Amino acid sequence: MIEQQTAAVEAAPADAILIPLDELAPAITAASVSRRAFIGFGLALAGGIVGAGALAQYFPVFASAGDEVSPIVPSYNPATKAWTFVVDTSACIGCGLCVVACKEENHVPEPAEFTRTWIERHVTTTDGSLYIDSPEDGINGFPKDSTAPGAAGKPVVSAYFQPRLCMQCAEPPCVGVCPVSATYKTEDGVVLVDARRCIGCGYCVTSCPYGARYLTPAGEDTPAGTPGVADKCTWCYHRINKGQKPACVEICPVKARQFGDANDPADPIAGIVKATNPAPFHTEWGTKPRVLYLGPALEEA
Amino acid sequence: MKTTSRISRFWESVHPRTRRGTVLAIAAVGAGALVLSGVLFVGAAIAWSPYVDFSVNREANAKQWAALSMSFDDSSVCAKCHTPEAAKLLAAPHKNIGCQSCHGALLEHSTAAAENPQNATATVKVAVPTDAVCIRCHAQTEARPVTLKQIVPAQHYVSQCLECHNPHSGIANRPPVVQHPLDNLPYCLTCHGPQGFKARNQRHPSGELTDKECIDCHAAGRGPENSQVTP
Repeated sequence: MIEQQTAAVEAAPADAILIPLDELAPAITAASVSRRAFIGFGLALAGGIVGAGALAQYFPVFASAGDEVSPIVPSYNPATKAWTFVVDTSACIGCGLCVVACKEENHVPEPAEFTRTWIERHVTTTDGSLYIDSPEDGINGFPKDSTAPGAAGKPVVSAYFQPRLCMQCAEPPCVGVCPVSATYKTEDGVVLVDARRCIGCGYCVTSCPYGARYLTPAGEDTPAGTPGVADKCTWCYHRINKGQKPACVEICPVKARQFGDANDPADPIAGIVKATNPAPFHTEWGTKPRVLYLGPALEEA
Repeated sequence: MKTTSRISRFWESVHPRTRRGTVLAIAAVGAGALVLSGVLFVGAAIAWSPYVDFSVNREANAKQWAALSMSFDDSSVCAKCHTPEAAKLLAAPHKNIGCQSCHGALLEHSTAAAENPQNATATVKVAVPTDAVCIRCHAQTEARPVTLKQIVPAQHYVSQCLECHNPHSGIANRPPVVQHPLDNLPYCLTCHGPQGFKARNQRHPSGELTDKECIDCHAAGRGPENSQVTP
């Protein structure tokens, strides 16, 4: 029984599909070319492609925009850098000089809604409420008492200043959401925006849980020289490339902001990190932030 | 007409297989040329269209960021010329503060100084900080660490901070203490006002002052060293 069934199954499709060879032959002959013609055609195609490649060597049609840019700092090797930024919230006095310096150094537009760095004052009152204020991003310092709505007159239990900037996340959501691949992470871990590609859609501004991004206004002097694009703290990429510290670190009168290359034995930053054990905050957001904090900011987060 | 017929007659005389081969060869060369021109056309379109400026090129963009010009210099270079100030500062409470924190961005000045050491100030002047710079850090403010010296500006004698306080040395000048008895005397400004016989000096505020404001500084044991602030 089983053998018969198998035979029937094998036989049936073979009968249905098979076309006699003499019926197919004219069609095959009509469609075929000689072997010589086939090889010749292939050679001509290959020659065309190789020829195009060879010509492109003489006429640099594939030259990229980067070829003309000579290295600014030949000694700068991003792969060797372990840039480390430490913010001590117990040291910050809220003077706002970092915000001033950042705006001047990076040509950040003046109005307070445009800023790469800012200072928040976190005030906890006796009723357990937390009030956060940052008048004008802290650029003019802070008034005596918190300007947060509802904070006036309440006795204060504890308070501190929290300087904020881009966390230069190892897994930056802003890079992931960019629809035009304008923002990216450099080899040394700094997240930059390619202003040529940016279309100013603002997705990255929304995606950043730390609120580190903003869109530059039209027609102003802007950091990248292109108005209407996303901008953010670059850890003063132009300065750290030349062996300088970021402007906010340079200006801070109380060393609340410290910066350095943890791979450089001569740089004290590795020692600071080892001695004080700073940590990033809101790691539960999963972006692997890279600015390390010290002091009350960690306890609160 | 004659030429055409001659060509067609010649074409018919050729062996059919050779004819087919010729057609195929011409087709092959044509196809090759088409591919070549296609590749070149796309390449040229990329190269000469404005869109090349917007192509993904991380290295080029990072270099553009790195090439931006700076405003702030490393404050440690200031000590090369301003040796006395730097030496004083090293022993003062402000020793950890960089020059540019108070004096502002100085790269332009230090660049000018490097080019023309004899006459740097003539090229790019260094600003003398205003009171606002002092107040930025030293005004009493919620959340400031208690270790920071803080004043309530409204209760502090404010003329020019630098008249009494030297931020480089950390030493403040005491105002002269009143040497004469104060009982049964008129209002201080009667004698020490601008028209008085022993007028106060120009560093005082030009407006009216109450006696209390005068005594706040000029009473014995008073003055910047013992008031709420030392630099």
